[in-house]
Amino acid sequence: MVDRSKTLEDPAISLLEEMLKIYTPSGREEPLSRFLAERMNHLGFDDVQVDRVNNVIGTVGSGYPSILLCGHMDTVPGVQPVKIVNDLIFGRGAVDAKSSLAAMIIAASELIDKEDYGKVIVAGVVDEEGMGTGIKELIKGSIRADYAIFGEPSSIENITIGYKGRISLTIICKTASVHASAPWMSQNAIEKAFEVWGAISSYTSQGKDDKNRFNSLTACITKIRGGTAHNVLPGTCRITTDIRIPPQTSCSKVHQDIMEIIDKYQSDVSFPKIEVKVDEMTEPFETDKNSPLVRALSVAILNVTRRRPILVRKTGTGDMNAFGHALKVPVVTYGPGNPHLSHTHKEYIEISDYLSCVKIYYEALLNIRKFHGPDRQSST
Amino acid sequence: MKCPECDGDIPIPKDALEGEIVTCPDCGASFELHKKEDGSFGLRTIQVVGEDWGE
Repeated sequence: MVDRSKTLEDPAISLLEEMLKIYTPSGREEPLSRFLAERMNHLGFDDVQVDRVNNVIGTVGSGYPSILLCGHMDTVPGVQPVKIVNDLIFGRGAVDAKSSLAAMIIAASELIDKEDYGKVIVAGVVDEEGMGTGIKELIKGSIRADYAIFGEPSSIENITIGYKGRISLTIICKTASVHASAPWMSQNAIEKAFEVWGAISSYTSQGKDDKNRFNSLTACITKIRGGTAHNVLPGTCRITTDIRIPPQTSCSKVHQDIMEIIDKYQSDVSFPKIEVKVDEMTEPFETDKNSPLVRALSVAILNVTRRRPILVRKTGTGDMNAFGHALKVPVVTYGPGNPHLSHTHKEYIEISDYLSCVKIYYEALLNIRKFHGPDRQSST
Repeated sequence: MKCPECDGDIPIPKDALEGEIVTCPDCGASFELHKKEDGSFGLRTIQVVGEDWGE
């Protein structure tokens, strides 16, 4: 059990508690951004700034290698009371992902009195649960790094080395709407849109491997809208799809294949017009398991927890995809907490795991400097 | 050290720790380093790479 009086004195725990008390659904991160800028200045970070989209960025150290620690400040909507009960801290974002960001800030601040660890950039970004405005702005800006760790819950011994890519497509079918008592006079937009979806679904099911879902293409419908009344033949149907792409292929290849399927339907002049909109496209990304970054974090986990690290590939898609692709550097995602509590109404973090994570980030930063080697020049 | 899967060469860092994950640069198979009775390292074939859903 954690001593409550000691808990309040621990700067890592008080920082997390204060962060959780600031409610930050996507688009409303500014108060937390200002709070963290003030706190990072107080801790001794250099060049602390809040950019035009409200990302907060600060650095410690200089030289090479340059390491980015990036966590997001926003959460999914839904207030949860912040409370500490024994070894647990409850609150919206306790798992996804304020614990990771708080641990990164504290770990980096503990390097300030050290020498020769390179440059550590800590970024708290906005809108990860939305459209990724924060990470896109960070990539567009001047930040460059040799390595990056993204803070998301992975469990204390798990390092996420890969994420699938994602395409979100909306398929729109339009026909002439007629009286439902005379369906032969037109074509049913819902049924025709489903015919196209069936062909796409067959394509994405090819090579399906239930024992290795990370390396399989998967697709599902996430939204559907069609029809206006119980007695009117539907004249419009919109199907939104979510397609997850393994690293062996690419979004552009899958998109091209799907467009070829649609073109076949469109070559039939009697088939209704199908429009396809690309809502989002994020390429898959996987880091080399032999990179100094993976080793640095694995060794830190071993030293701090005495547990065997596990490398994990996830069927979701993370901010590290965009960053890794843009900068072509090793990137992993790592942070405390049970990832399956994300987006639920019972988010909590174990204080012991959170404090271990501070130590793991800290040791990993020192290890990266060691494993990077003195002769390798930084890209910055 | 020879890879049990493809016989490729797996480099073992001089400062390697027991429990570390090493990966064959040729075939990509990963192994856990374990200490043998004589103090030297061996490769253990266990699941060091997993799969999960979510972000």
